[in-house]
Amino acid sequence: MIEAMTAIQNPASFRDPRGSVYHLNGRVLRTVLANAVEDFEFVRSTDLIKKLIAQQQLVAEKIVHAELLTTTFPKASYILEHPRLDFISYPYEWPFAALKAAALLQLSIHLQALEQGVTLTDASAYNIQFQGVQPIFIDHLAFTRYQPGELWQGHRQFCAEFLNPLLLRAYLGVSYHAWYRGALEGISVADLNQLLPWYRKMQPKVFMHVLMQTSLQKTPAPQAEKAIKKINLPLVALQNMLRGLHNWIEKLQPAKDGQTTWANYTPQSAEATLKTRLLTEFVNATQPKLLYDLGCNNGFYSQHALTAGAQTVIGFDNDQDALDQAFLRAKNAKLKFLPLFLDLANPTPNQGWAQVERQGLAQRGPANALFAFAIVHHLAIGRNIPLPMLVNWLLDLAPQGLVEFVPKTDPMVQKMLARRSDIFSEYTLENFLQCFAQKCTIIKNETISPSGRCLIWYKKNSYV
Amino acid sequence: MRKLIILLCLSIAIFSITTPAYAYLDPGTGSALLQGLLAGVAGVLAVLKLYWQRIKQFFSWRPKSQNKSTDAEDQA
Repeated sequence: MIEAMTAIQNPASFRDPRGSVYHLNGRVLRTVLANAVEDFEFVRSTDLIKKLIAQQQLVAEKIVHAELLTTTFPKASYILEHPRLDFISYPYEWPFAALKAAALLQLSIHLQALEQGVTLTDASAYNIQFQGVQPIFIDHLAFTRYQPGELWQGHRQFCAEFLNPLLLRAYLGVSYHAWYRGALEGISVADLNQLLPWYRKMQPKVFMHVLMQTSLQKTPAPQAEKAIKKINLPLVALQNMLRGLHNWIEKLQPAKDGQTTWANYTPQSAEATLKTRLLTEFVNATQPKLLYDLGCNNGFYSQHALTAGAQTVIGFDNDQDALDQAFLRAKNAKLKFLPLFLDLANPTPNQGWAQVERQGLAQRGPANALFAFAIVHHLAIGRNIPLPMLVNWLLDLAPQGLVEFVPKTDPMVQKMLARRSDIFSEYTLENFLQCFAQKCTIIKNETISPSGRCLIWYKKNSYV
Repeated sequence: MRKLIILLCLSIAIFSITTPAYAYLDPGTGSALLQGLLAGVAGVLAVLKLYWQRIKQFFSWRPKSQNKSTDAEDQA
């Protein structure tokens, strides 16, 4: 008999008692337990799964039979293997366009499923991941047999995790990221109802999904239970509801709040040429599978990095409009680039159940390499982060990088210091390089502007 | 008809929200009741559509010979 191997259960895969995702020697495996078999076999007797995989709307699956695996998962009726995703991201990191794309995918998959007599058990935004800016569904056990007349179980969840955050930005111009990150299960209709002005609530769909839902939620429990038992939702009504939401969300656009600082930023030509040249050289030499772009802005340099040979780029920025533009750039050029919302001085933490369910930025890495243009001064001077701490953080994120240092002589830093006292006597290029010296080799150090901006290419000594 | 009654009950429920609920209230209650309303609306719309077709049929004038042929098609 072959000895069972130790598989590590994915810390986010425990809510569904019908199966879980495990990691085993770099492989991603999913158990299908006895209580899921009937649904599993029914759903696979239709074309649905094959069709969704072919359209790249669902992560591929393969039923594996190896004895080695069956001894590791003795309770599993089936074991599925899935390809590994490049990077896991969460809805509270997605820019507006990404959350919108995910919402549309969720609805589209549900509609396609219903055509084959299949429905979805929930509508969790965490069941969607991204490949580039293409959303992809990842929960293969969410598909069950549709019972005629049944309610849409995931409606409330769909509103909280997709619709309401989108409405918050589209109708009120308020970013949902901090709220979503804090609440994890999204924004409740009751909260959104409190915020929306009355004239918005007169819009039929808002009236229905926000105002009415909130009002009905207050129905006394015994009365509500009695009424719910009698409800029979015809398939056509369910389909109309899903289509209605799809048409509505498709048209949602972020409110123009004029708050962007960087979206209209076009790099200075001479400087941009030098940066692009060095970035290309850096990517050619390092050939990163996963590359981070810290302060990605509208994705200008990410695109160059991909052209130079990086396989996947994840960009981070906290400017909403710049992120929306970056998303559009990736979509139009079909780039394997995903721009995400992140305040670099307050990166995504470990959170959720037992503080491991949703991973922090550091836990999802390290990346193979990173580049950080025009970001160090914002952290060091704008947010008072001491240079040694900043460098250590960069080295935790990736073992090698190309980072820009903007000296005090630069007009941008002058502007930042104009209305505050200069408490940054340590902020010098010499000190910055010194911070790398202990753990790294400086491969290149080039001045790229007359004001003294320079790019530093470093590599950790421990990294081969 | 049953759907209409449920619709009516639910509509009354919306506007009579004063009694506090002491029992555990499932967070999906609002969503489920809303779907009940939508089911009712779908039912009403289906009935209205049916009537509308009859009304349209009643008012549409066609030569006798053509009417006969449509009748025959309907029976087929």
